[in-house]
Amino acid sequence: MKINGLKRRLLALFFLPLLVFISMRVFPVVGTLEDLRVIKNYGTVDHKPKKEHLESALVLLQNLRISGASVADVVGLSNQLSELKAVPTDRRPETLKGIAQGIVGVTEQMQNQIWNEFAMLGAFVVVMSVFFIFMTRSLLAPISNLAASMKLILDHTAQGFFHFDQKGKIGGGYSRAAEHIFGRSLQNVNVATVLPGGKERWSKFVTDLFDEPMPFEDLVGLLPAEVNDGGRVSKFEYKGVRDPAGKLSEVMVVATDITEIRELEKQAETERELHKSLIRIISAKSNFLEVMKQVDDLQASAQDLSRFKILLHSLKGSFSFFHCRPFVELCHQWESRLSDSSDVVEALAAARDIQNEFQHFLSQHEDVLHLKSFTEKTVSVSYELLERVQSFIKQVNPDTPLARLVDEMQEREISEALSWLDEVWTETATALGKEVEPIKWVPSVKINPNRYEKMFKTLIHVVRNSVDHGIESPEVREALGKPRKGRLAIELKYDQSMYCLTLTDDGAGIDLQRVIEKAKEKGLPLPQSDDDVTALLLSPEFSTKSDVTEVSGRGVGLSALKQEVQDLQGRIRIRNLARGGTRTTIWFIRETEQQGITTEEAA
Amino acid sequence: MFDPSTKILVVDDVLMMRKLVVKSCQEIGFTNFVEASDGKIAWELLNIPGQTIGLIISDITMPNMTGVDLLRKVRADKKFVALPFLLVTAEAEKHQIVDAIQLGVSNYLVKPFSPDAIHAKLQAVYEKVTGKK
Repeated sequence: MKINGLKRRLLALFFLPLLVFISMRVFPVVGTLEDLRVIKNYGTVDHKPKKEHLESALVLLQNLRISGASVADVVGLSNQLSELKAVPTDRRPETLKGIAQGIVGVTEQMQNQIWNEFAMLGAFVVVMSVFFIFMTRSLLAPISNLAASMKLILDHTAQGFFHFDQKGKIGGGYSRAAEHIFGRSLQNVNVATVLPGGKERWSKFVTDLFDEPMPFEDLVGLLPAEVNDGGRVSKFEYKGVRDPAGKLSEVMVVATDITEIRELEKQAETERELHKSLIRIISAKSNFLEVMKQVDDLQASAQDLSRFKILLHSLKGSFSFFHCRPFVELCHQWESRLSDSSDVVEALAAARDIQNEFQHFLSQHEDVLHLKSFTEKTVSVSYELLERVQSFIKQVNPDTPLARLVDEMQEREISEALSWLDEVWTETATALGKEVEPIKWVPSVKINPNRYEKMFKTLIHVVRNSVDHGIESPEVREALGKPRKGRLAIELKYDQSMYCLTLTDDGAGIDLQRVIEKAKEKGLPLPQSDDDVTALLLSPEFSTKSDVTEVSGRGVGLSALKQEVQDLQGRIRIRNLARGGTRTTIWFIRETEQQGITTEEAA
Repeated sequence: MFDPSTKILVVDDVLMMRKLVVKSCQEIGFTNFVEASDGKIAWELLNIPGQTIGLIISDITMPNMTGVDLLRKVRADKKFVALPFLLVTAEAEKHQIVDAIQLGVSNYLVKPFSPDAIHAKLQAVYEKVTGKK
């Protein structure tokens, strides 16, 4: 766009003088040519030229004065014509004819001369045009390439660039992003009119600023640092451009879209609020139960509008205590809507709205809140305190049911005690490209996880083996008519002073053929029974390095489990199930405090 | 930089803010202060015969006479045309500085500020006034 303007200007600069030159040269000559045609006619009329005709032809020729030579010729002819008075009449026609021929000769000479000049001029114009085209091509090409690439950059950069001068006028080179920020064209616009605050505030300042009444950084510190236009937020930075004398000549503005950053910040802030609120709720459960009751009461109290408004207001206060900002706002909205309304229907709508939102909030955060525990009368006791109670009982009276009771206080559901296995199960599957259902926990008896910590830790190997060697890939499972997703069930039972923990998967089961082959390879005794297979699988010699996979490790896992279970006077059985899959059953003693002591003392 | 004995007129209606400005200035070496709780009192102090105030640091929003009005009055008086004048502003009041530029404010300080910030601004004002470092 700019470069075309430049071309036009060059064209004008070059051709206008040429045009003036040509018209100065050609227009008089065009008239002359016409005159010469007339004169030639005078000279050739009927071969009997009249003196008056010749006289007027010569006068015309004299006026034309094309060149020195022709003028001399014309003067000569004119003299001849004047001398005719002295010449005898009978000789006159001859002389007149001669003069007429002379006139025709001079005229033709002049015509030729003019045509030659025309040809010269034409050639000159052609040469100049060629030169001009060549010049613009070769001179302007780099400039126009540069301009094109500049335009490309300015049109596609995400940053808004523009600059303004001492009059506040925005210069021609600005990025398209800058126009998007202001939502308008910046062509020939004063910067004061586009900045937030408008012309009123800035028009004087943007020009004063070039006098630098204080350091440039302090001045631009007064210009808007952020522009929010139609929901997009842009950060503005100002840079001074100085002339060689050091005087500020332009201010360059760089605008960066920071909407996403702002939104993330806002999101983070909302999340922080939510966490604060959840912590407050959990740490003040009984107060929150009060709030839940208030919300429940909303519907019933909607009939009595004044009571409803009081309830709504107190609810707003409660929500604000719990940092539940969205609910504070919701209550506030309804409060203002109901402020001058006496419509019970609207109050009912308010009640429903708040109740729905509140229910949604509770169910959304149930995993953190455990609302059920709110109504249970519970007290939390530190583990350290419990241990102190235990050691006290141990000293005073170790055989009472009291000891058992303290132990019970520490017991957990198996799903809770081993909850970390959930992650091992699903993450191992993901790493191996397999699909699994979440672990199915079969609720039964409770257990004190602190007592079995060491053995529990080795269960990771059972779970990993189950995914790695047991569960087939989703495609294979489908082909076998199994559900795509593998399953694992974990159950803890209690039987005659022994715990019985079973882990059952629905995978391919143990490949007995392979177990036998490997036993042969290793030179181990070949299994004769199911128990022999279990023993083999649990033995540290069975696994080799060739079996090492990233997931199941070196296979020492199961022997570690064996060690831990033996320490608990337990045993392990690994069996293939008739319906497919493997079941690992682990029996171990239910350690009570007394037994704990005996082992300790034995050691 | 300004001579440490330069007498600074500190104008703010909030005592704590005045103390803060004075303390910050003391930290960077100044020893001589006069305080006023609004523009009117500041103007009276300025005009006490024999008074030699070399620098004004004034808040904007004050009862009786605002900092901007004080600036206008000071600049209208031939004696004080070149007297260094700093306005103290909150982030939200910055637009008042934009207007004060035309009245001839020397520089401004955004609350909250550190002694370093005051030092930098005073240095800038000094360079502007004297044309030397």
